[in-house]
Amino acid sequence: MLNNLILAKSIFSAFNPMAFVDNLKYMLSGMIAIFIVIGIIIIITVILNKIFSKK
Amino acid sequence: MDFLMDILKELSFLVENLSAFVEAGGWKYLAMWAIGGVLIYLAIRHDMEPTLLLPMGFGTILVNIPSSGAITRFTETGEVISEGALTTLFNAGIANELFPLILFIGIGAMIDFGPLLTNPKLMIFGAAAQFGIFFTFCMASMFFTTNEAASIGIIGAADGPTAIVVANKLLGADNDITGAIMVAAYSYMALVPIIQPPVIKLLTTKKERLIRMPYEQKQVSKLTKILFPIVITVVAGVVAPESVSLIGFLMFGNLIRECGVLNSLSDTAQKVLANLITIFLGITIACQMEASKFLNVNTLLILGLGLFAFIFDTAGGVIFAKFLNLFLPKGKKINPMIGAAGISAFPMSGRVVHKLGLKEDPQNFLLMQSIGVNVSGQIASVIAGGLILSFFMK
Repeated sequence: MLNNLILAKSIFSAFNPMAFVDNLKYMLSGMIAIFIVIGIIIIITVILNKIFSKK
Repeated sequence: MDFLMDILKELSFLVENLSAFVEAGGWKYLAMWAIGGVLIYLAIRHDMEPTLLLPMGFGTILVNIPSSGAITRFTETGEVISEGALTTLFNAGIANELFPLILFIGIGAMIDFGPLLTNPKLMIFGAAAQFGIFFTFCMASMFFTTNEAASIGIIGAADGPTAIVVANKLLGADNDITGAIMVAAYSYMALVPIIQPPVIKLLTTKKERLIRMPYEQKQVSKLTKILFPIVITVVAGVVAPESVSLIGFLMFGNLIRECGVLNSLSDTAQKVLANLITIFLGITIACQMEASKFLNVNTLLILGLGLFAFIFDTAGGVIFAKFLNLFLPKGKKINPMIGAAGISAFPMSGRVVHKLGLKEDPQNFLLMQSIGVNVSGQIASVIAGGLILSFFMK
């Protein structure tokens, strides 16, 4: 129990709200990257469908 | 009388074991047994991911028996007292990411990309629904180190194997929070039917939930189905090379399925291989659920953040669909509920959306669209895992 209290204290003493703001750049670049990759995959899939579609 | 005394003396080890149990923090073991019991109960009574929750629940009880022989025990100086079978399995299959990757072959063989190839635009919702991963990462970074926060964020991938691979690569298998991350990832996947509906209802109006999306059946050529897994592997691999093992194994399984000349391998991957690995995976993950590692404030915080990730994944998909509707003409609007299916929990999430649609309007069939989005969530979550690794793996 004492260990948990110490751990809880260490977690909340390490609480750093500015880290949220600092890491927003990863959120933005991550979401942009994932939309770009999925966008590329969509375009390729549309092209594949057009080239090999059953007539 | 002497005879009875002798027997009592012989049985004194029972009393010693019991007193050792209490001294060693017996309540912690009892709490873990209760957690194991709850997992087994959810698996059997509510049919929630029974293939994973049942082995995990039983494994939790197994490793939390004082001085359990199922896990490797050490002296205070770190010397091995006895090797445990579950620890051996953990080192052989999870610490080196082998089990989750092999499981991906089975999952790939099970997935039919047909609904997605019929309407590739649906894939965009798979991307939007990864928002929870990155937002949770930002939230977790306020309490944890960057790598720990990234590993916690990936719980939002709603994909157990991806969570295991990312957490192992960023933190190492022995890290104290890896177990909580694995447990959260698998438990919340099972709880998708409970977590998603209230979030979807909160973010949509009844009018929006009633939007019908006629499904246009199109033929997809066999060649397209064969080329798709290869193309995805190359594109994802070039952008996020760290994701190659994840996406590669998933797409390899799908290629076996679609090539048409390996039907018996495809069958084996879908059934025997996937089942075997699932049995070992579930019970081996429980190896990380020792009371000493699991019962602490960190675990509670991780479970809370994991739930947060699932909620924001769902919200990301739904809100993105609502945003797109602003630009779409009447009659072409999207039912925003399908955005919620963009998480990787396949096929639960797709079914949840389909059932919600039927509940609002018994004639509104969203299954094909929601399954298409759900499949894209599978791809997008693996790519998101690869991106996280690219950002933070030094």
